[in-house]
Amino acid sequence: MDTNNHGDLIRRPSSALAKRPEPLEPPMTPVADIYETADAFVIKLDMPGAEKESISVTIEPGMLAVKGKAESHKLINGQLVFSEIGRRIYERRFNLGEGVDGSKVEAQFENGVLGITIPKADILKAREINIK
Amino acid sequence: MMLRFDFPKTFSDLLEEQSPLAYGFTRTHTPAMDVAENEHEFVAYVELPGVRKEDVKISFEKDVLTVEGVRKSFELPQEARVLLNEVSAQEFTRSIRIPAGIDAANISAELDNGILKIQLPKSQEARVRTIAIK
Repeated sequence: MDTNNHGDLIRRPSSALAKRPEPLEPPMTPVADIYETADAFVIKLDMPGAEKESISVTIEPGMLAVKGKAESHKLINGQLVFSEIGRRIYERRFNLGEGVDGSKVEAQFENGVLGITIPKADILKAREINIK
Repeated sequence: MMLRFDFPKTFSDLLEEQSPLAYGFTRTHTPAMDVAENEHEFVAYVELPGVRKEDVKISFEKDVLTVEGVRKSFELPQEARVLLNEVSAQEFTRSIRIPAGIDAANISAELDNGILKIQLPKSQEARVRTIAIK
């Protein structure tokens, strides 16, 4: 199934889920992969150490926001003698074009990678038309 | 005498020797690390999102802890079209010298939520002991 020819229905054709510039530190922008299938857009974000309970995925009109925190591994007895990771606050927003179904977004967190599946609305799905 | 300025060569020299690109886009990734210490042990934390535990190798030789392995890419559905690719499957390696005697036989590790935690217990000799005055 080829969905590419429906690109003009998305606000920004080649990047329906393009990244936005982020505010300054301390929040850190997790790196992401995004791909599109016939039925959905899938975002995968690196959020190592994030506690599952701290992760939020919020859908607003035209936008999807992801937040999370990684700090539990700091709760140890002793002191840090070497630190590059520190306490991580993850934050990233994505523009959502029209044609996605925000009510059916699913997310799962595995191996420090957050996966978000955003189903396409029917308007974006390729359809075969039966010839009468 | 005519000065000759060899553009392609100059450009490639820059790339190889001075540009951050030459360092930032190397094939081997150096993951970020924290190390904590208490009276019984050192604990090292290494950021390894998307890495499976069977793809990580941990070694301790003399006083150097080394973590290495490979991050394999996830399976992309066949008909998928990539819109953004910031994450790459790649090899990683990280070493750190641990500055006290370690009981190497009892080093343990676990990988959880993309963080590798390695516990390195101190040897008896390296632990702080209180000496009673006779």
